[in-house]
Amino acid sequence: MTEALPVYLDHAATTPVDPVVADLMMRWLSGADAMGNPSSSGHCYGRDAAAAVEQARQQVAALIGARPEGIVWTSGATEANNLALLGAVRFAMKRGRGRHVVSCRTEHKAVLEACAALEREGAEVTLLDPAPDGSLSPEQVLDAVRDDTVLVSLMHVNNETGVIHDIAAIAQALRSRPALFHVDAAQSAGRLPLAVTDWGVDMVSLSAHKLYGPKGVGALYVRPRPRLRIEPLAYGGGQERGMRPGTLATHQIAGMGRACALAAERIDVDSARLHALRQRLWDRLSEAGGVILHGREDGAPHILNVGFQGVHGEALEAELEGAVAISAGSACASADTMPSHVLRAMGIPDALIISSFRFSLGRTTRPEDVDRAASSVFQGLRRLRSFSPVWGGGGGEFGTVARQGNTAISTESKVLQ
Amino acid sequence: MSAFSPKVLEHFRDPRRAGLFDGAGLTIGNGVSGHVKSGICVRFRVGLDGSGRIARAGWECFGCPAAIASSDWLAEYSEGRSPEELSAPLPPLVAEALDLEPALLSRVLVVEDALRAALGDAVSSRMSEQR
Repeated sequence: MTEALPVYLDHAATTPVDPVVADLMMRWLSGADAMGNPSSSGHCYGRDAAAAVEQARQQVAALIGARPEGIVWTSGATEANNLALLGAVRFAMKRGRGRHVVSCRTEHKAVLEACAALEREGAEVTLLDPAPDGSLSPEQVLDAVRDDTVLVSLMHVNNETGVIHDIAAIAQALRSRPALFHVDAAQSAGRLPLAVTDWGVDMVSLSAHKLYGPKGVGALYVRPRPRLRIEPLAYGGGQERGMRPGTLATHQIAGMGRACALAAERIDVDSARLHALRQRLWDRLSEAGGVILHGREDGAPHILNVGFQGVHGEALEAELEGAVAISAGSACASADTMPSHVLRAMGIPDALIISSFRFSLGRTTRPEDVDRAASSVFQGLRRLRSFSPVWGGGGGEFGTVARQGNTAISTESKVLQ
Repeated sequence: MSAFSPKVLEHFRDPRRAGLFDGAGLTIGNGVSGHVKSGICVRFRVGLDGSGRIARAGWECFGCPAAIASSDWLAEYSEGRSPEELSAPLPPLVAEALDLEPALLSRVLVVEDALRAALGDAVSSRMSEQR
């Protein structure tokens, strides 16, 4: 008998490639007429590839409510974030047009590390502290903007907690200031409606593999009108308006375009399904007691980050091996054992951070998958808590601050928005 | 593929001495070590019989699988021995028995501290009883 595969609840780390997307990519990898370089306009092979790239550009732009000519292909959201931050701030610094950046402590490392690199080059960075629920107010962002602020960079949906920043309101607040506004939308594209042009956002980072497309391709939207100029990270043949030179990977780009078109068709249905599944997961998990929701109840539909009191994350992870695939913190950070910088920035104690997990749901997740995962977690918690010295009212000598029965912690089931 | 050895996983998944026993008829010693901030908390209990040997040992542990497995192995190893027979450093024995990565030894030190505290407590209780 074949053993059942673990329930995959790590869609915020990556999503499976949609079969329709994979089919299209294969056509551009192995088709007899698919070898053309999109930059080779002198023959039909090149022109066909270029047409596929331009179609994908329109599909990506349509998903985020932006103009297609603003889409710049990259290798993923990490490169897009680097291109946005390093490109915009270096361009401004070289021309004496400011050197200040505003971002937030809960951003992805691709933004925070790019900020650190800019600081080494002489820029000044203000990292905002979020509220304990991970949120930021538009006023807080506006207050941090100075006359020499070049760029404000914030994510739409947090990759660890699912907390949603109100990008429309923040963009509105920033309209009175000349600072550029960059948004990392890797987790929100295809899951929440985006209206980039209407909102007045200047740059947006996207990743294909977060929305059922292939790994290794993404995009940076760079406002085409009025023209926004940034320094490229590399130099070469002038592709992508000189912002990202290099031969375009037609199969990757076509795959991202198709994935975005599918996401646009399904966004309402997918979002409603995911909301219901997230609520179901929370209801099941919270029955165990001592389960703390990190973030907000009205978070993104696909992410639920919770702390389990009284158990160590590594022990629960080992307990769930073979049954459920989830992330302790974010997948990008779990290679090291440092507590999540996102949860720390929200003021969550390290003792609870090491007992915290991100569950992220996807298009193929079924209600029975959620139930199976919750049941495995439930059993694991029961076993590990049966011999935990910091569960069930004891543990003061170990420095525990919040235990079962502590009124500061609510274990009641809440209706997630 | 787990990062822990099969021997660690065996004790983690099927611990033999988990929990704190009721030590009627034994001289009981309790010991704790660790802190939630460090990601490991251990409570050990040993029960000495009339001859001063460890008749029973049990534990509670909040920690990674290696910490849980080390607690269980040390409890099993302790039984039948006298506190004096456990006076040599124990982590090398645990590491060898459980095929522990060197990086995990710091967790065994915390477990050992809890066991030693429990042994000290039991020995002093026994001395009080004998006075």
